[in-house]
Amino acid sequence: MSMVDEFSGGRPLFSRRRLWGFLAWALGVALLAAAVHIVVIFMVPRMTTSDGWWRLANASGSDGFTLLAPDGEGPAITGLDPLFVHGACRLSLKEAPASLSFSGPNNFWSLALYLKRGTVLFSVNDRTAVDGKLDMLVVDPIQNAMLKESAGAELDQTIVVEAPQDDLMALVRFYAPTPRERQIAAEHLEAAECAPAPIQPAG
Amino acid sequence: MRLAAIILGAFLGVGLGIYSAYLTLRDLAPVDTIESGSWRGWPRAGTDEEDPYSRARLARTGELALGSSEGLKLLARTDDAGRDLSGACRYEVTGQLPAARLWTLAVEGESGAGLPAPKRGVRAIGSDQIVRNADGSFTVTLAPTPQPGNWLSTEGGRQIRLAARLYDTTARTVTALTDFSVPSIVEENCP
Repeated sequence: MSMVDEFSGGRPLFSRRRLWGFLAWALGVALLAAAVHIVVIFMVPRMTTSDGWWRLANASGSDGFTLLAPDGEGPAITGLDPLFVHGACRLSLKEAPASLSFSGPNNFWSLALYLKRGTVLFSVNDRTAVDGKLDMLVVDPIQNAMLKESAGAELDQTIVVEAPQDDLMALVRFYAPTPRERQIAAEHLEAAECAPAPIQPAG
Repeated sequence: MRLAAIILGAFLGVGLGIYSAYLTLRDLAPVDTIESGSWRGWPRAGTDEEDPYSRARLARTGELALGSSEGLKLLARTDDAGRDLSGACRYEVTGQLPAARLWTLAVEGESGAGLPAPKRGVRAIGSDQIVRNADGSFTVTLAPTPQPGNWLSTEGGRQIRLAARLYDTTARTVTALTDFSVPSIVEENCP
């Protein structure tokens, strides 16, 4: 006989059966909480439309690179380096491959292609690019197959990136710590190209 | 009675699940990090191998991870004694950062949002602008008022964090052989 049973007399408040019932209930609550916790953690990136990718997409156009406002001035993208000039361009591969080309300023620069949910598909910096220039063609798998067939394409200097989805963001970062360098970087960004580039048929 | 218990349990379970998820996402996910001193980095952020907590946290804050050819961001929210960094205090940040072609050091708001431009001084400094000590290490002072040497203004920030961004670095793949030195953060004066 447990203490509890003795204290509460003939029909105990906390009988062994009730205790087991309570433990089963608590276990059920804990399992449900764990399941909900996991579902929430996995759903947050899928449900959100305010993650970095969408903020970037909303702040930029699809023709040329849009200069992003520095943090604290205008609709900012969180977590960008204040010493950099950033430009973004939205790529849609539905109609045609997207062509990106620019020559960076003499400082460090880098470019990243982001898939939805913020996964980096491809990134490159000024050292890995040829002569500090970027010439890139982003294609989907079907366009890639067409590209290989079309003999006319001159792609020696071009980085060809195959994307698993049709909607991507390109983000370019130019290191520009001084106002003068910021201006130069902004000029480079303005001259940068980001546009659909239909594949010329072979022949 | 039994039905009431089941309904109460269902609400409690869902509530606890959501609340615990909120608690883990509110803070910097301590999952799959590289840590040294008070610095933390998420080398797999933005890759396919990113853990679900970091991914959910980035989705909430709206940050975009640096690509593997770009670099790695390290964050420090506390000094070496484990106290939260406060914009009202003066800190000495001394030492080296992992090998990188370029790095920048920036004072940010506690949640990662940029602070408004300070009246005097700057919020960020790059490795090419920094004045180094004789042994190649650097010392940066964080303080709300002007300081001699390398100074980053913490003016107007209550709780702050320090972001070190390493560009074109090998620090993303930390092994026993790579040098992962980070600067110490020591509180000098706190009114």
